[in-house]
Amino acid sequence: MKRVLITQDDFDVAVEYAALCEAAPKSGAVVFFVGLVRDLYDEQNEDEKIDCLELEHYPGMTERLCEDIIDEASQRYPVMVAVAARHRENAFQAAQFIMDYLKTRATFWKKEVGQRGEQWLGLKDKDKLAALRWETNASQSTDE
Amino acid sequence: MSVELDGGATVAGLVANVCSKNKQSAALVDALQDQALMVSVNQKVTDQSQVLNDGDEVGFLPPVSGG
Repeated sequence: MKRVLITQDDFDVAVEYAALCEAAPKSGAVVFFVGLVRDLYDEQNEDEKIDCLELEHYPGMTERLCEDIIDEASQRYPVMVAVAARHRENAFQAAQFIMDYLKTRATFWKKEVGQRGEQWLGLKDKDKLAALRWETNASQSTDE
Repeated sequence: MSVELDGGATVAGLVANVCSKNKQSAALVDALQDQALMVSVNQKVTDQSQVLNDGDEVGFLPPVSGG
C-alpha cells in the first residue's frame, strides 16, 4: 500500500495506525514520525517570538515526489509499507530515509512568522548531511 | 502566468522573455536569475536547456526546506 496525503486538516495517529495494520497484516513493526513546531520562545528575547510556521508546497508535484521517495524506500526495504515492516530495523530505517529525502527533495517550503516579520527558511546543513548518508551507505535490509 | 514563445523555445528562452518584459519588476527578475533555482516542466525536475511544447507548465523552485 502506498498512500500520500497532504492536507490542511488535523489527523489522528490512532486512526492511521488502525488503517495501516489492517492494510498490512503481516507487519511486525510500525514506525510513525510526527513533526511538531518547537516552541523556542525565550522570554528574554521578545522580538524573536515565532507565532506560526507556514508550509507551502507545489500541489501535484509534491505528491509525485513523495511517491517517488516511497518507491525508492520500498526498493531498499522489502515489505515496507509507509513504514510498516516485518522487522523494526527496516521500519526505523525506512522512516528515517523517507524523512531525510522528504526534507531535501520534496517541494515544500517553510516560512516562520513572528515578531520580526516573515522569513523563509533554508535547508539546514544537518538535513543535507542526513540525506547524503543514504547515497554512500546502501543499507542492508533485514528480512529474516 | 501564461507566456507566448516561438516554436523550439527552451526554459532559458522563457526566462529571458519574462525578464525582458518585466524589467520594472526587479524582484521577479532577480528571483528568476537566482542560480539556486531548480526548474520543473510539467512537474518533473529538469534544467533550463529543456525545449518547451505548447501548454507546458514550468515551475521555478527555490531550494526546498520542507518536512
